[in-house]
Amino acid sequence: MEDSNIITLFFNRDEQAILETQKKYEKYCYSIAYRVLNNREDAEECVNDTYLTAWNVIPPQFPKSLSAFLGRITRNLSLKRYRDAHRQKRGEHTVLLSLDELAECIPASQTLQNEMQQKELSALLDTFLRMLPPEERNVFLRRYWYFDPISEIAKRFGYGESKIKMMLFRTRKKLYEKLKQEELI
Amino acid sequence: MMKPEDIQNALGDIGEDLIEEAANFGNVTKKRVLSKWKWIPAIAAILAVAIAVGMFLSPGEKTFLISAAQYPSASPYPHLQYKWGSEEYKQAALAWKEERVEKKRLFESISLDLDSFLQSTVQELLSNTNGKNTAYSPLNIYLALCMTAEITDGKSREEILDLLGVADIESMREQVNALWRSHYSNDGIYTLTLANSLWLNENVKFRKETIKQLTESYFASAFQGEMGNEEYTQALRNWLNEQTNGLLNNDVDSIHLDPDTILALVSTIYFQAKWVNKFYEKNNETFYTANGEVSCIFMKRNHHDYYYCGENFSAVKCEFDQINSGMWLILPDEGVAMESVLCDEDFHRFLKDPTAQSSIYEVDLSLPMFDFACKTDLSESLKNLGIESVFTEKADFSPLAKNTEGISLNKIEHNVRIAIDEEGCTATAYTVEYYEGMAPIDEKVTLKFDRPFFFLVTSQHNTPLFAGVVNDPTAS
Repeated sequence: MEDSNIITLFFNRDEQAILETQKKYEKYCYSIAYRVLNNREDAEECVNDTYLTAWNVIPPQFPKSLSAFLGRITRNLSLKRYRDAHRQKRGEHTVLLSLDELAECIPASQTLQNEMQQKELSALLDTFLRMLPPEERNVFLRRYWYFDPISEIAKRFGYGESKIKMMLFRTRKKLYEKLKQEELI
Repeated sequence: MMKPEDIQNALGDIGEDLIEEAANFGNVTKKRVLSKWKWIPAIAAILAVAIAVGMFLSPGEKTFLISAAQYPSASPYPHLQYKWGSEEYKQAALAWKEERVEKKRLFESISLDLDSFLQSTVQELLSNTNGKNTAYSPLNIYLALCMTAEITDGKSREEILDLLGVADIESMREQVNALWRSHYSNDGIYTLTLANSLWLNENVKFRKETIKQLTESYFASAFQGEMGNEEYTQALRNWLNEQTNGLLNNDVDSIHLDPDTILALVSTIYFQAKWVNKFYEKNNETFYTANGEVSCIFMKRNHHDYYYCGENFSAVKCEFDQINSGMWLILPDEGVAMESVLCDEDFHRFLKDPTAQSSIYEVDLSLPMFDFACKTDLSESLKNLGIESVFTEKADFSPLAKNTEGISLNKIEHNVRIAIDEEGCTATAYTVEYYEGMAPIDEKVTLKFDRPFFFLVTSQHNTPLFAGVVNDPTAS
């Protein structure tokens, strides 16, 4: 079913919306949740929570892109669940590894004051990403939005892992410069 | 203090277009070879011909349609016709949705057991293929046999009902009608159309009530004409080509209504659907047939799909753009013959409800494109499955006409053509890798269908529509 029809079902408060969403996007959402949580049951629960959240927010929200809208919900729910479960321990996991890599963009003494700053940061990241060449932008997003392992990104883009690592390193460096330029750090 | 988590969180709120772009980038944009959605057409036609022996036939009149079946209506998919949000769109969407709800309700009222029929027939019809591609449509054969039960009585009918798993003809009649209406779909996105017809000899006085029953309950249009007349035969060919969109025209052209034919009973199914997740790449590789190697083109994709790892085989479901409907692809393990899988208990358990027994895995799938037609005379297979009486002079066709002594079912031909829209071949042997538990991120399966495999196409209600074995994807 086309996304516009699924959204209509949400607006009509028709529970078929959940079924159609599940049919079309279950696997997409599951792949995002599994990357973050690395556990089948937790991933499935997050995907189910995604449908419930979508049901609660559409309407009033009207997604421009249903896949991105759902993916974003899944990502947020999965990260929250992951952080709740891993407050005390750290390990060799993509979410943590990606955090370590992102730490290169931020000096240790900096802090984000409030929600407003968080929104500013989102807007800045959005602008920053749009200025990047498409390939560089999407390698960055596969790593830090979708939490793909380096090996998967290399395969997906048809490059060696070292090239992907180098691309990510350069993008992080550019991001650091951008944050500095905008006086966010 | 600004933490890396802040960037991670802030990234969550970037534009949806960027998220969507990254979801598809790489796999599609960089490696994309195919230019459009690929479709699966699949059709089957069955022709059962009853021939008179020793009956007196007098000259007759010209061919014409005597009763036309009223096919179920199918509301068009609203998005194809109207602007989203318009009043027409809303009305069309409501009609489309109500139709789906009604079909679901109808199907839930049916107790016909097509799964058991599939299990009874799969081994008989798909074993011993001698290296040839073979396929059949369980639904098509089932419906044709239901009609055959309607024109028979006594032992002839009992044997058919036994194979169909039905207690009595009255309940079957209602249920077949519901089965028909719950599956019939032609909304522009997903096509599953069924059609039946009767071709009657004009010199025989058929029982009107039986013909009426077949028209009303089984959607069979009835024609009557002079058997042996080329015009009458051509009318049958035209009807078949129309119902099968001309995809079986080579076989259709060889059909003849011989002068001593009493009745030809014809049933068709036409199916067309597109994949939910498209294949994004194709490569020349090698397929290992029983007799050697062939070069063909493989289509590839990587998605989270339903996957089942059996004792002797692996299975993956490629879903169509219609909830539940899909094509199950079943690959025997290396060194395991297709015949032993077809009689494997685990395989039959799996066939009962494939989706319920499977889990979602990330599957790296390589699948050869195929497009083949096959023609099977079902007579021997049906005899092996317990339907014998109708093929003998003792057959009871009493519901058909007053004097039916000597009438028997002479032949029952089943033609199928099935195609998936990309080509494929493979250079290396397939490997199956899967990871369990929590440790690895890559809970992934790699499946390369580079050796003979089995397929099963199921409807939106999980009804078995087509089953077959691909031994050589390059053979047509």
